[in-house]
Amino acid sequence: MINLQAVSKRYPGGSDVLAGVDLQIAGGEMVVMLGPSGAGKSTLLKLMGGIERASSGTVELFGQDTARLDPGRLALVRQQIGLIFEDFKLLADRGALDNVMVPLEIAGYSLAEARRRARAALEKVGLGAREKARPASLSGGEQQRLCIARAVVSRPALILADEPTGNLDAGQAASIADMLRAFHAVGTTVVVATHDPVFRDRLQGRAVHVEAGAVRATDAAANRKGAAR
Amino acid sequence: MNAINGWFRAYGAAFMQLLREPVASLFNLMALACAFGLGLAAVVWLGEASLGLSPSKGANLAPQVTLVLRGNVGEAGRGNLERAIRGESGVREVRFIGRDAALRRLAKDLGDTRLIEGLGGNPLPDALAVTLSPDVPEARVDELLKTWQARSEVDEVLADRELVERLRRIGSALRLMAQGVVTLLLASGAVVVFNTIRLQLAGRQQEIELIRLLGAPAAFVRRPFVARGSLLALAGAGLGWLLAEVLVRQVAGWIGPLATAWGLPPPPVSVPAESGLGFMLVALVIGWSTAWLGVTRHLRAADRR
Repeated sequence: MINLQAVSKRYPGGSDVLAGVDLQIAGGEMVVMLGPSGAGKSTLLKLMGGIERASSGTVELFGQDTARLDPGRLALVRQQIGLIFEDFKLLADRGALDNVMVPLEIAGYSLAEARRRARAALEKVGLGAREKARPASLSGGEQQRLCIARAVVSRPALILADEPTGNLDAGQAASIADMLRAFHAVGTTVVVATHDPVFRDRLQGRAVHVEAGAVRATDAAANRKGAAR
Repeated sequence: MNAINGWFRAYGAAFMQLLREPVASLFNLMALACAFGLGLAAVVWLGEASLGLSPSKGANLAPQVTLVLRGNVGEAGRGNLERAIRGESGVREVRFIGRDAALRRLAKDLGDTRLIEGLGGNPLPDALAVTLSPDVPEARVDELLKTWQARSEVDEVLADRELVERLRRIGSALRLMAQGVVTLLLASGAVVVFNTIRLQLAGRQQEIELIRLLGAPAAFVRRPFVARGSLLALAGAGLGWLLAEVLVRQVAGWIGPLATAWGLPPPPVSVPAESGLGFMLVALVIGWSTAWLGVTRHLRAADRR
């Protein structure tokens, strides 16, 4: 599903954030990228999500080289990915339901169908009763659950989560880990970047250690739940 | 079908947004109404007036030629001459002005018959007033004048070509001026839409970045802004039509009598529906394309960053 070969990334005027990274992630895997802040985990996730382009090397998503995709095709690839952010990135002037509906609007669902699916996603993350609430009126844990609902509402083949528990307490982090495991259990590929070893243990995925822009070690594949969907 | 639904939703949202921001919308609409309304009035009034001075509008700009007949030309000779002239291509009308009628007209114009009575007789000749078709080429006019001058019945050929040419030039200048004014006003309308969309883009920067992260193609990002821009332009043009109607009516009241006195066609008293609808269509295209351009530039700049 994801194939990175000799990938390097350098931002203009800066040093190499990633250097010669090789990493393969199969469909249905749960992968946890571990490493200190600034190790390059977030940049790796951005490359996997087609949000940024590698300075050199090859990034293949769903069998397609992202460097060769025009913006329109790349947008279609991104629609198959659910993104979870540390800072949630919710639309402050819209209610919870409207926030969750955004990916469905992009995918071209009718308003009624988008509303139905968004409500179901909110129920799944325990926010069914808060569909009209604006993000500012939700707690940090609720906002992250809202972000997860938005990420999974269009049933993506791949979920990329960047420090999803960075702003949450231990109890909320455990709840988020359970949710991600539940999505993985139904065959969704999940890639999580975190510096929290407790969260990693709860997720029980294959660990990929990232350090100073390179993949230093990767545990044996632990829990591949299903073949590519 | 999805795209059509998406456009309906985008226009609905744009309409609601106009209502949610009444003050900003009002100022934008007023600016657009002024630009589009003055442009429409310029097209209807100034354009019409300048065309009124053009031959195609039927104003008295067709070249007039007066053939002064020799004193010995009898009725039969005059008849032959008239038939010959009518047979020429480029001639629209031939009118005989008898010497007696000409004298009566002169006396009326002078308002004092004593001078005429003092002449002791009628010194005026018979004449044929020939009106040429407005679209007759210069070369053909020259050819006709030479032909008629060469005829034995004709003593002298008088043509008012200089005046006609001067009026034609005035008409052309007015037309050009009208086109320039309309272009400037339409451009200022486009600037208003462009700036409004630019402000909208700046205010929704985070939202745009997020929906692009979530896989929105450029067309999806553009849609609400293009809907807003075209709706704004359309509403501005609608108000502009009303403004133009008021202006055209006022101006007709002021210069109508003057135009009649000068023998020019009367100015229009109302904006023709086809002009108003055409202008709204132009405004819609301007709003749509300006907003499209604004968002596309913004997205390209964001991609470069």
